[in-house]
Amino acid sequence: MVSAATVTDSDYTFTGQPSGKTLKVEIISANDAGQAQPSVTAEIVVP
Amino acid sequence: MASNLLPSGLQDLFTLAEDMADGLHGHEVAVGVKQNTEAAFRADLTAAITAQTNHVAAQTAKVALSTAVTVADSNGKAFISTARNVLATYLGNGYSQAWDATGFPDQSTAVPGTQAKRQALLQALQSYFTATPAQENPPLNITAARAGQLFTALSDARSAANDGNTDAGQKKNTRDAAEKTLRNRMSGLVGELGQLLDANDPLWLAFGLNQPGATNLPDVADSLILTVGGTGTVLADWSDASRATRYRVFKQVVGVCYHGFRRHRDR
Repeated sequence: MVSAATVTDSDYTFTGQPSGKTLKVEIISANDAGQAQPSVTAEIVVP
Repeated sequence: MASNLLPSGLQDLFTLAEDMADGLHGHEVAVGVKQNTEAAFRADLTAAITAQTNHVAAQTAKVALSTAVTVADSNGKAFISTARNVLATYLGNGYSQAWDATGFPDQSTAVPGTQAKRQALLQALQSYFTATPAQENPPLNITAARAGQLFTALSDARSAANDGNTDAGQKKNTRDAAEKTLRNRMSGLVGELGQLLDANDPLWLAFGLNQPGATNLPDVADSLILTVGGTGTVLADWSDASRATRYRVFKQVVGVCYHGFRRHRDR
């Protein structure tokens, strides 16, 4: 996994991903105290 | 350990208080709250909100009343300036003892520099033109009657502004007292819940409060859903996580080798 972005809203749009490839995504919530464990990994085939 | 410090801002305070009141509504009996009941809590919350509303209204009114003073004073200045020119034709341009009867202060024919002196001069000019109507100039509206109108308008405006300042100050004091009472009530409920609930009891959350025994770390992001968009586009959406202020988004395209590979668990 590589970092794609850090956001404050609970959504994000990936663009320019390779069509036909499987994209796996994880989210880590964070605050000034630190980070939570990663979310369950979700995956989808990029259109 | 998570704390339950009360917000410093009033709006945040009222929001938390509403959450706490809702928690009392749903769980007061089951939890066994005796001291800080919903009825007592909502009474303090309503009083604080009302006091804040009244304070804001008084502040708004104060500004409007101050503007009215400025307008009345401006009208008075214009009258005094024109009256001076009218009187100069009878009394001379520069100050002399002949001007004393008009009420122009400080041995000067200039428009007085303070509002109080301008107000006094308007009243003096009313008296002067009443006593010497031949020096009035009705076409320019330099008359005893007009001087009297402007004096009354300025005096009334200043009086209303003073009353407005007093009212705003009193409303602020009332608001501050109501806020203090509400804060005491909220702190009281946090303390009472501390005696009734385990530090990790999820019921804390029903009152809009943190679980005292819980970590300050955010909850794990969950309900992550990916949706296809246009070509090459994927939308990711997940549920808000408690205490999270930001989210780090990680991706992996299967079959693609990333240089500078970095695991997300490296914090």
